[in-house]
Amino acid sequence: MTTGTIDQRQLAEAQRRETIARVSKIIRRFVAYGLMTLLGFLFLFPIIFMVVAAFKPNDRVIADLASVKAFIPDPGQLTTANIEDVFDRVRFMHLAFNSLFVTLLTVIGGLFVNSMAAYVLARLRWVGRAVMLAIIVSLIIIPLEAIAVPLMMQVNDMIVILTLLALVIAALLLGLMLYIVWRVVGKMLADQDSISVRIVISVVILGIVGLVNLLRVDGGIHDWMRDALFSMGITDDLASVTLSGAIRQDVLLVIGWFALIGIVWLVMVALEIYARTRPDIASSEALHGSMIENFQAVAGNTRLFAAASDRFLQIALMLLIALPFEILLYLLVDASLEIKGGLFSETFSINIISGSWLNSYHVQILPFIAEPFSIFLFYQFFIGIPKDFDEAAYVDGAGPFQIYWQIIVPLSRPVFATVAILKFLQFWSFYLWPLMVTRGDEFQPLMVGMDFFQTQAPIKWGSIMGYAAMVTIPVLITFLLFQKWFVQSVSSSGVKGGG
Amino acid sequence: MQTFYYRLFGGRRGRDFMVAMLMGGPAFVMLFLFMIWPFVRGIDLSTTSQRFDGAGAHRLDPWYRNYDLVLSVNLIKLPDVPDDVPYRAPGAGWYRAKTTECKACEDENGCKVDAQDPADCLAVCEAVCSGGELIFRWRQRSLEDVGLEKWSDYEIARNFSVGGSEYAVIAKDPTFWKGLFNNFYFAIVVVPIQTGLALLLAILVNQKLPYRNVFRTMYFSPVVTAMVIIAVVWRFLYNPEFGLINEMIQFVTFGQVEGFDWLQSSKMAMPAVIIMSIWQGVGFQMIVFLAGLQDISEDLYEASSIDGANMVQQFRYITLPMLRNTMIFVVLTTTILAFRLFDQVNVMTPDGGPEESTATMIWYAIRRGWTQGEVGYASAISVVFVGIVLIISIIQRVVVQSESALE
Repeated sequence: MTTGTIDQRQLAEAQRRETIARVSKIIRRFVAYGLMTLLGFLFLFPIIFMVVAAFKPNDRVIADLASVKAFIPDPGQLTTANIEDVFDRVRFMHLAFNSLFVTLLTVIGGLFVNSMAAYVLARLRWVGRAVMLAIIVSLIIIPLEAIAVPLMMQVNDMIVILTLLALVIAALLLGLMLYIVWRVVGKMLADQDSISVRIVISVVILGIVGLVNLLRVDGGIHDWMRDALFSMGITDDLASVTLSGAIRQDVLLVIGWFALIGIVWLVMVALEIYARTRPDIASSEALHGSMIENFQAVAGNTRLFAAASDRFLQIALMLLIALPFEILLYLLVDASLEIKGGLFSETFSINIISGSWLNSYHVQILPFIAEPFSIFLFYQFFIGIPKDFDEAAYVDGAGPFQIYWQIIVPLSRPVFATVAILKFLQFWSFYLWPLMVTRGDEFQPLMVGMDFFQTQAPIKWGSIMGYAAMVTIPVLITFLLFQKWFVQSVSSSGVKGGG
Repeated sequence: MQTFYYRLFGGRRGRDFMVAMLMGGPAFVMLFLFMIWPFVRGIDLSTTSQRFDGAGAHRLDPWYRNYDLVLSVNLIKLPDVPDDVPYRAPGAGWYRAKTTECKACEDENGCKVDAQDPADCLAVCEAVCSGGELIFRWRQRSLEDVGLEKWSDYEIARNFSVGGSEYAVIAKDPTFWKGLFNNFYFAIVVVPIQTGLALLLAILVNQKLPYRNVFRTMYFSPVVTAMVIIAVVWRFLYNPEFGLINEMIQFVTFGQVEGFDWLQSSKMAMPAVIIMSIWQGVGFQMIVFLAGLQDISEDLYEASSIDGANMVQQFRYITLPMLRNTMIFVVLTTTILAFRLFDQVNVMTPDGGPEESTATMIWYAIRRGWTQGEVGYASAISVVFVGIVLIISIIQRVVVQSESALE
């Protein structure tokens, strides 16, 4: 009996404690959520304000500030006037292209070059390795800002050979980008008919490119090319082209056109070689006749339409693949701008003979591909991969590049993602260097383009917010989609660097 | 192909060297071309009066003249002067004087300009038109005016009074020293606050609460915004008349605090930049800390709570020691980032802020080297900058290592 009372008392006590614990837990949660929400508001309000202001009439941006309307707009007020104003006043899409183009090439080139350097530092034993490693580690400390001024001097009087080399490297990088897109497409459509899907995709892309150009015809091929380039923003002003400049430009346009044809041809050859190396295609279908016939043969035989079920996806991919083609043409004609030299001659007195890199794409890309910190991150990851893998592959007769490409790279996806994301964030918002080396909107990225709205009257805060929102929202959406990768890349940069 | 390597170099080591040059070559060449060589060249340029347009490409005499200009600094006691004529208003280059103190002459526009009367005023007085109204200001006297001919090359960078006497930090290039001061000011405020806030946020979102990832996303989202773009938005928020920040301050304090002039005042400009920078950057460090926190084993907390440790003790004796490496990493990187301060300053306060209160070393180097084209002088500033960053990181590393040795 007594024991029963004690039990009951204990039970009551325990219940009371549990209630307290539960209540305190609820209170603690309440406080935690309250604090977190408040902080969340502090972190988000500038972004929310920016986005809301972007879609408000210019005069309401300031008028609404004192009320909650700064964040929650009146639905009746919403307008796209600011966005239209941005498009009217600057070539927004061109600036966006510049930004994306420069950033992507820097990131992709950086991944490739830095990981290879880290590979030879981490996995091979060679004379001077330790010295090289020490140099690279000590270079981490030198901030880019500290060498910006002498570097500007350096790129201003690069010797001509280096200029040509720069163009070649940039073209190779484009090729690499194309290859990566190609591989990604292959992975995404990794079914039995991926080859045929790819062929169809590329044929359709070429068709689209041709069709788009054909639609522009309003004269001879000459006018047509000129017009196309003008509308793409490559030549700045048709009227101002001088006679000799025009001749030189025409020569380059022809070269550019042949280059495009050459690329198309290269792709077709590559496709055919690919098809021949696939036993299932090569054996089932005799590859003969002209290249076009082979295309038809390959495409017709391999359950093409069964694989092409998701057309939406394919169209998206086509557009993705079409991009580098246009870009390559772009880059080739990039040289014509430098020869013309009109953009810069007043401020910087440059021409191709002196080999100045100012006002170009490659001046924004090449100096930042090799980066000590990226090499270091790769190095730390590679050094942790067991040596046995290489040894086994070596015994099997694999060369060092094969080991790198087929063993190390597939094992190191996380660190590739880390470096890619960190570099993307860094160079997407890169401001100082483009500010120093570009003039006019031909090669300027979005970040520098922003200055236009702050310095050129009329200064409309609505348009500034519109521009800011248009730059920010795509990156924010990308972040939300690939959040896991972003977070992972940031955290691994810290944990690894901590030692 | 492999036999070719063997014949050429013999053995795997030789082949590896060849491969290293082929595969690592691009990176090594680019690092040399775009980092090492410009750096060395910068050291060379810093001993010339090189300009961007090609002029002045000859060695200075003496070769260290740029460094002399950048680095010459001294602390002097200023001679006593009558109270009504201070050297300068505290923290300001300009001092508003009574109109009667200075005889100003009118120019043809009716604006009064540069009425210099050192004999009467013991200082240089200037009248400027501001919104149609004449404002008389004292210009900071040159050191010659007060009988310090010895320091005639110098200008006052900052003055202050200790025990009734006026002292001044004088330098041949006061802007550089203001920049240095601002860099240290920024670093000393930002590093502890940002690190502490990042840790707090990391602990908050590390709690086992539903939807915690939503909050993590919120805190991290400023990091993915481009600094330049978001700095423009903040410049608008900081506007003293209609800026949202002042509106919010007024709302929270029920109108007791009127708000600040932020970017227009020499006192609040740097804090404004600091708040914005922390807002933008803290999410990054939060994620780094979060990774560190998640590496700490749950068992440690469970064991300690069985032993009766409360949350504060757990934080003090488990969380902090376990986060030591992460903390070191965060502090080191934040310090270096603080010294690289440029983007937000250039966008929010294009001319270095009121009275150069937000001028930084990098901003000044870019201004001299790029805006004004004085590449030689800017290179000297850059070399000094690298030296300072190097010294700071060496000190930090020595501190970290001696602490580790003590344990």
